[in-house]
Amino acid sequence: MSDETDYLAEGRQIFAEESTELLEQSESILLKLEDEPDSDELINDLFRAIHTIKGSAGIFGFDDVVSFTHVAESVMGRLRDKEISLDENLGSLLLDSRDQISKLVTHVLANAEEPIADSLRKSGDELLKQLQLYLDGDAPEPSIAVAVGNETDDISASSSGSEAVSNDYWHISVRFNRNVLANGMDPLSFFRYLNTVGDFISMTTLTADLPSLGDINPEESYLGFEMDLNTAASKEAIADVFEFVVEDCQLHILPPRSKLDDYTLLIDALPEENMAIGEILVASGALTKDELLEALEYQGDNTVTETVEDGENMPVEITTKPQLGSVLVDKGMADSRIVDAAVNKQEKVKEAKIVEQQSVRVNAEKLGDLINLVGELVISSAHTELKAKQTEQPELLETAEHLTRLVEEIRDATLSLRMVQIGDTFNRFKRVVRDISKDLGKKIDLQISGGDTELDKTVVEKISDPLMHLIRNSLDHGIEKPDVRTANGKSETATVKLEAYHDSGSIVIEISDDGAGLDPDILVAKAIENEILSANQQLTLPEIHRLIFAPGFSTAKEVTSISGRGVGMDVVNKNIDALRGQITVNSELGVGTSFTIRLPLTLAIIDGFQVLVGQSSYVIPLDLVEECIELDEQQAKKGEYVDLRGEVMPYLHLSEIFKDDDSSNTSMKREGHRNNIVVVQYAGQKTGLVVDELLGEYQTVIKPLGKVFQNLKGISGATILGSGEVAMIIDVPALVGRVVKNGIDGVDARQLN
Amino acid sequence: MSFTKREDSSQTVDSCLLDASPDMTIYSAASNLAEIKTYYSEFNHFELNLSAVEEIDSTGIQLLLALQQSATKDGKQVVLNGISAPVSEVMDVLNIKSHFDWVKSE
Repeated sequence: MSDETDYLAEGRQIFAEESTELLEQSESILLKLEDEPDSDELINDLFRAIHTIKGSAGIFGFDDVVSFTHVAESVMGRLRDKEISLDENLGSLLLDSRDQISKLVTHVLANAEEPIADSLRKSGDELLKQLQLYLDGDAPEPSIAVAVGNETDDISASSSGSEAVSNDYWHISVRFNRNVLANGMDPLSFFRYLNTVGDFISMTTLTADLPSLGDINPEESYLGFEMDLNTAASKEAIADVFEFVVEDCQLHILPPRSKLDDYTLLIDALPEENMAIGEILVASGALTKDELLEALEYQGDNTVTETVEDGENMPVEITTKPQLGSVLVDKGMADSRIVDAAVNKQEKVKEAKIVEQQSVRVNAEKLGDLINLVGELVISSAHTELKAKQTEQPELLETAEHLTRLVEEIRDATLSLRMVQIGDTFNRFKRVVRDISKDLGKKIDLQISGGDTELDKTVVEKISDPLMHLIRNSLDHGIEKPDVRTANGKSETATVKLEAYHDSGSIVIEISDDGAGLDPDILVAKAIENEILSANQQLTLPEIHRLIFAPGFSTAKEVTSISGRGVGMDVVNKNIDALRGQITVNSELGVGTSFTIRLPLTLAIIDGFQVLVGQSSYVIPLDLVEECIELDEQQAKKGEYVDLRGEVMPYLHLSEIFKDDDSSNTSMKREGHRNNIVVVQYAGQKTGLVVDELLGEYQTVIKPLGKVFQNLKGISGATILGSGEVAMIIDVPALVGRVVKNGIDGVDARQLN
Repeated sequence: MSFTKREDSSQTVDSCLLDASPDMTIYSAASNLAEIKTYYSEFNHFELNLSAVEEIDSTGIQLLLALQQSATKDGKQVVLNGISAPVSEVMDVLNIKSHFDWVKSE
C-alpha cells in the first residue's frame, strides 16, 4: 500500500505549501485592510484564501482546522456582505484567528494523530467566543442572494427557453472514476466536507454499476451519488470541495432553480439509464414528476410515460435510450456549458489566483541539479569554443559561437528560475512592526519600496532572519517613545524604511529609521566595559558604529522580550558574510540609523571578465567592471593613483597582491608593453586593478574553494576555464575595502616591503 | 482474518453469522472480499455483525452493498445485526441504511 501512502504524503505536502502561502497572503491582506477597511476586493480575497484553506483541510480530514476556520470564514462572509463592518477590534481578532489557523495547520501537519494541545484549544475557544459575537444577530447567513441569482443566469445562457424548476436546492451529481480509491481519495471524505458547506436535503447512493461479488475489484470505486444541498455557498465553493478529485470524477452541479433544460442535459450526461436517474431526481425532490416528464419529452423519448408509473425507486433494466443525434447535440451543449462556466470562472478569479494556476511547483533539489548541470554545460561549451578556435575552421567557429550564445541564454533562463521577488519577505515584516509597535507603545510607519526586486531564492531565505534582527533592533532601540519624539521636535509617528534595489551586480537592501541614532560615546564606553576595546584606542566614527557587530555587544539598558541580549548583530554580520555580502551602518545621533546590506545576485554562475597576470588567469565579476583604461607610465611613477577624468582613483597591482613574479608589470620595464587598468566599482568606490592582459568576457561557474584556501584574501572562488585550467575569481569587495582602509599609507608601506 | 464465522449451536446448517473485523478500509478490502466470497458460496443465509468495525471507508460500504445486491439476485439473504458508530455514521452520510435488511430488534 506504499503507493497510496506516498500519494497522501504528496497531497499533504501540497497542502502544507498551499496553506502557508494562503496564510501569508491573508496576513498581508488583513494588514492592508487596516489602511483601507472598505476595499471589497481585499475582503473578497481574504474570504477566498481562508475558504481554500478550510477546503483543503476538509479533504484531509483535519477537523480541528476546519471547525475553527469555518467560524472565521463565516465572520468574513458577513464582512463581505456588509452585514458587519471592519473596525480595529475585528481586524485584530481576524489576525489572531489567522495565527490560530496557522498554528492548527502546523500542528496537524506535524502530528495529525495527536489531539491539539490544551493551550491551543483554549486560545481557539477564546477566539471562537469573540468571533461568535460577530456572527450573532438577525442578518441572514452569508451570501444567499449573490449565489443564486448569478449562477442560474450563467449556467443556462446556452439553453433554449425553458422555465426554471421549483427545486430550491443545489443538485450535485458525482460519478467517481474507478481508480479514485487507488489514488488515495475516499469519496466519503468529500461528502463529509460538503456537509460543512451546506446541509444535505437528500442523498442517493447509486449502486447500478456495482458488479456482483464474483466480479468486483474491491479497490475500485463503483458508486455514484446524487444529492441535493441547501447552502448559501457559491458554485465555485461547491466545486472547490471536489478540487482534489476533479480529474478523477464527473461532476455536475446545478444551482437552485436551474432551467429544466439543464436537468435534461444532466440526465443525458450521466452514465446511468435516463429513467433511473429521472426517478431518483423525483424521489429526492430535485424535480417534480411533471418536470421530469417534460424534461424527458424534450429529448423525444416516447416510452417515458409507461415507465414512470412503475414507482420503484431503482429500476435496473434499461428501457429506453436517447437517440444518437440528441445525445450528440446534448453533449455539444454540455461542452459549451463547461466552456461558459470556465470563462465565467476566469472572470471572477482574481489575477493573483491566475498566476498561481499558471505556475508549476518544482522540487528545489531538482532545480539545484539543473543549475549544476548548466554550470557544467557552460564549462564544456567554453572548452568547445576554445577547440574550435584552434582548428580555425570558419564553419565550426560559427557553430561554436551559436552554441555559446544558446548556452548563455539557457544559463540566464535557468538562473532566473530561482529568482524570487523579495517583496514577500518584506511584507512579513509589516506584521512584526505592527505587533511590536503595539507592545512597545510606539507609533511606527513601515515604508516598503522595491519589493519587486528579484534575487536568488536561497539568498532570500537566508536574508530573512538577519533582516528580522535588524528591524527588531531598530524598533526596540532606535525608535523613541512618542513623548520623547515630540519633545525632540520629531513627528510622533516614526518611520522605518525597507528598501531594495539593484546596484552594479549586487542587490542592496537598506533598513533605515528616523530614530535616536547610535551614540558613539555609549558605544565606546560599552565596548571598553565588555573588553572589546582598550581604553586608549582611537577609532573613527564608522569604526565605532561597526562595534555593534562585535559578539556579545549590547547597549540596551534593559533586556526586553524583543531584543537586547547582545547576540543579534554579530549573527547578522556572520549570516551576511556567509552570503558573500557586506553590511554597513550609518548613523547620526538624534537623526536616525541606516543599515545597508549588499548581496551578490546569485551564488552559482556569473558573467566574468577574464584577465591575465603573469601566466595565471583571473576572473573579475563583469557586473563590477566599469571600464578598462591604459596605465600611463609617467603618471604611475608618481604614486598609486591615476587621474580618471579629473577623479582621483587608487589602483592596485594584482601581480603584487598575488606575488606573481612572471608578471611584466612587476618591474614595469618591458618595452612597448601596455599595462591595463580594469576599473571596478563596488559600493560607490572606484578602484583600478592593474593586469598584464585583457582576455575578455567569460561565463564563470563559481566553484567554492577547498577548506585549505578558504582564508585566502582577495580570492572569492575558483572557476574552470575552457582549456581545463583553473582561474581564480577576484574578490573585488575585499580589494576595494583594502584600498579604502589603507589609503596611501597602506599602499606605500607595502611597497617598502 | 477479516470476517470470522461464529460457531454457534443455534445456527442452522444453511446460515452463518459473521463478525466483521475492526478494519473495513481499502487496506483490508481484498482480504475482506476473499473471506466473504468463501462463505458466500457455502451458505444461503447471512447475518453480519458490524459492531466491532472501527474504521470503514467507501470500499467497505461497497463490499456490503455488493454482497446485498448479489444476495438479492441469487435468492440468498443478508441481514445486518448491529453496527458500530463509525459504520452508522457512514451509512447516514450516504443515506444507504434502507439498502439493507436489518435484524428486527427483539
